[in-house]
Amino acid sequence: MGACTHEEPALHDAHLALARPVAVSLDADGVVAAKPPPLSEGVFPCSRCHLGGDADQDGAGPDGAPTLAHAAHGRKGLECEDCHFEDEEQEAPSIPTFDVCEECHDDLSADSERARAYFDATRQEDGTYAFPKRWRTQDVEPAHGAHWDADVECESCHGAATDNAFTKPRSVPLMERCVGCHVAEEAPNECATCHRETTEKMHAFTLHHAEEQRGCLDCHDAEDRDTLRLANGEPVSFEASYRLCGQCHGPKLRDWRLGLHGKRSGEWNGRQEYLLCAHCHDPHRPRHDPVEPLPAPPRPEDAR
Amino acid sequence: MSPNPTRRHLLKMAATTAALAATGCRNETLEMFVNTRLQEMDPAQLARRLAALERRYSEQFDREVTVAGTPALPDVVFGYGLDLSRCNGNRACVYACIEENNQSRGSASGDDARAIHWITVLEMDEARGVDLDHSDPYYDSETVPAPGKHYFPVQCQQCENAPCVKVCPVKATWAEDDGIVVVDYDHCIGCRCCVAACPYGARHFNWSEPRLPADELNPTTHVLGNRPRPQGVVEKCTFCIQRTRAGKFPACHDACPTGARVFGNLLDPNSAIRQLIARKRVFIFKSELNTLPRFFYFYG
Amino acid sequence: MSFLHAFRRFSSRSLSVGLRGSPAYLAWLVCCVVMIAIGAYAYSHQLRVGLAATGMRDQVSWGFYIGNFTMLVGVAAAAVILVIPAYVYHWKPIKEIVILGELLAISAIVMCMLFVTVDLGRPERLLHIIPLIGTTNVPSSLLGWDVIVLNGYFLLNLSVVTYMLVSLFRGRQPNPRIFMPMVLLSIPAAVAIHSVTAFVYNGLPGRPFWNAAILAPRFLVSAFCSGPAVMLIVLQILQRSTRIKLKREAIWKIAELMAYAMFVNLFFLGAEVFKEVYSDTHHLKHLEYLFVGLEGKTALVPWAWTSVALNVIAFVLFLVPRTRKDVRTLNIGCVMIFAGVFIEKGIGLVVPGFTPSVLGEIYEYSPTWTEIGVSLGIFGVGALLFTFTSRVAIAVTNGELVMRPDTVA
Repeated sequence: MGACTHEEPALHDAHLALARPVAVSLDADGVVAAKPPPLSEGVFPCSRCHLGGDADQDGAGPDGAPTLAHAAHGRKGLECEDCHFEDEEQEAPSIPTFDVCEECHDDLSADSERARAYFDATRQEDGTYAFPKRWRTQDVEPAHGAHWDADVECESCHGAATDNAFTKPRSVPLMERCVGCHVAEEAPNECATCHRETTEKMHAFTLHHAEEQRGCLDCHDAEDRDTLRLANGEPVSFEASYRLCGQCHGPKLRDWRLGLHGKRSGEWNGRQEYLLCAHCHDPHRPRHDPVEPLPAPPRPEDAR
Repeated sequence: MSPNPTRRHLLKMAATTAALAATGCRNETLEMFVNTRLQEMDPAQLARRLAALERRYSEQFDREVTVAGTPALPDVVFGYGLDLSRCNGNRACVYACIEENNQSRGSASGDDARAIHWITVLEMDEARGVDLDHSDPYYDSETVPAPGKHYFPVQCQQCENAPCVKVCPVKATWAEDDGIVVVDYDHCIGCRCCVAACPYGARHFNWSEPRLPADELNPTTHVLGNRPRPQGVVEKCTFCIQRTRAGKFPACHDACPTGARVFGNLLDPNSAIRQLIARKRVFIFKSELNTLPRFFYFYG
Repeated sequence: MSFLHAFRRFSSRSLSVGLRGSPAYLAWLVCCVVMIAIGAYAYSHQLRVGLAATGMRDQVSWGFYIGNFTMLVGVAAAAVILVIPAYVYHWKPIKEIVILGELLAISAIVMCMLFVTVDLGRPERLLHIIPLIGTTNVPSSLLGWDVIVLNGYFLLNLSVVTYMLVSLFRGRQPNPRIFMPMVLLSIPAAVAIHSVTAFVYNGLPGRPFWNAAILAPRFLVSAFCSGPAVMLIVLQILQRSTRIKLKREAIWKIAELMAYAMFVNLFFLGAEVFKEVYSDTHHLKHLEYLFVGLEGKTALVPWAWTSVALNVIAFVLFLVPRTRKDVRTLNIGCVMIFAGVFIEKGIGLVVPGFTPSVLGEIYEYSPTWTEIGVSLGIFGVGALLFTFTSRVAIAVTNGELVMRPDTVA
């Protein structure tokens, strides 16, 4: 997984917002005792983009958008094609229109509470319905045609409609599953293969951080994108990201704890604030860019 | 600042009073010619001097200026560390220093002699190491670090065996108990022996009346540090005495965007500076001169 | 009648004597006054704008003023050291040589003090450096010591001259038991002032150009060249314009001693050049700047070679008996030596010590018109002082200025 696209341009800013200065005090051995602040309002959660395994099953999604109860449809014996393909000629699945729903949901008043809530939430002012596409679904959508052409069954990715795999994670497979299959089938495996729109629209970036040896999930937790993970699988919050960095950069971590690397501010003899690794180093590209220097001092020759 | 006036001080006062009594000079006029050094003032004298200075500066700049006389903290000797691997020559320290310490601002075009910088950042060839003969303080590449170059910031090294203190003919400069080498701006005669003696180019002379616009003044000052200086005296880095004696870091330390600077109490084994000395190999600039600097360079 | 009474009378009488003289003498006095006026104007400008009016900056923080100071300390020292051969060889008129030597020393010291003063950023605080009144930093500061020895030397010479002149004015022969100890004391004092001045530079380990043990000896021998050169010319002027008669042998002897001194001076220079060039360390930079220039900055190069050339030619002129004994070549040699040492000390000592700076920067210093003007003024003061006092001294020694018997009553 060499190249990787950034799914959200503000993600790095989000990292920084997560990694605000930490109040630190030195104990007698010069060891850092960090007290990370709680995630504050307005901090951008990673799960807004990256649906993880623990994401909400039903009702409203993490971003507040209403979600459809796919599992309930599966239990009624419906196939994907019944809703997502209106006719045989259609090349790729699509989000159905209300006409398709109406075939079953002809009397909304008789519907389940859950269904009524969904339709209420998606009904527009003019009486039509706009079923939201997940941000990510939209991004990956064009891939369905290619999968269809390659005779990949819906169940391969989404599981059977009655399976838990279908509902968890909702309608979207975890990315490892995509990647694992792509590797096995020798399908194209670049990020932009799937995340096309993101790649086009968003700031593309390249991982320049030992990218030969490492991929996204070496640092990011696969299940919960709001946390990081150590090599042993232990989750680590963004506030303690130095533990993650220190797995490889041990001597730097030691220096940082001692105040010899990184930046401290505050009082030389009292309360100090430390900047974390990611404050200064973009974790995906830790080497600094050259900067513009401030003006040179005047030359004595000019000052005569 | 000794609690009791010395015998010589009394002698001096007697001599000058006798000399100037006839002319009816007021005390202030007398002070203009024969000044009591801040180092030998008793607390009451110092308080009077500080109050007078606060009045004078507040009037001069038309805003409230404080002049502290905070003495050295007990059991503290300041030390500074600088990581040459990380300095990228951006000069943020230089300008933070100027703003904090009320150095004279030059004109925008830089064509007058008034601009004073306490920190000089030298650009050097990577292949030559610390080689002053091939260094350039005037580098103005569009971005830094420039290819093949490294950067070496120099400021007062607060030497334990300070050549500048030794040569001063009037005892207008001395090392405080916390190791900070200070200048009494009211006593300095401007002979520039110390400028010639300093092996680090750390002492700077006010060749003209300093240019310090009131709105650029830092009104929180120390009598031995960043208070406004007159024309014709020498000034130097004091590790931001007005900040460090109040527990803060020096301005250059806080301004460094690469975190290359380490500061702390050399007498505290847990301080960052002591940890630096214990864990890293440091070197001192021009160690062959036996100046015993309290400024440690290292490659982190 | 007391000595003090005679001194008061002497002072008032000498003023009128000093202001009388030939048209050339008066023209020279006017010339001195004009120089002083120029200096005063230049100094008032410097006081207004600060030392920014000079070419000095943090990189080269001493310049023409301190160079002149150093050179004149040499003149002051050498003028008195000249007294030694006068005694050794029993030159006549020894009295006049001693008095004129000490007057030259006094004038040179006054100029030295003025040069130090105009170099100060806060001249109104000058008293801080004066022992007892100020806070002189001795034993630590060499400049502190320099002020003490220069003042001591000044007072010593002033006492000797005053005593001798007032005695002669009173019509008595000065008592050698009173003035001889002082004269003898002034000889080591002369060595002391020049050595201490050399140590002011010498004691700065950050400036390798000066931080060489040979600096003080070089100072002394170059002073042995320049001081007598001034004296020789002055003595000849006096010989022509007054009734003083000097033995030719004395002049030749002085010239011969100068030739030896110049040889040692050149030898020391050679020793220093060898050490630096052969070692080829970072310290060579300063010498390089002086003699070949650095990074295309060559302001001092013509001066440095001029100085060497003048010194070498003068050495040859003084070494060869025929040119030494010819008044014309002798005088040419004197002027050359003085010019050579003036350049060597005034420019070639101070500026290369600062170039490159302690951080390797090459700032090319050259004196501004303000500095030249102020220096001219100070030389004017010295010239006026020496002219005036020598005029009085000669008037006293040749009996023109004596306390008239009628005034005694």
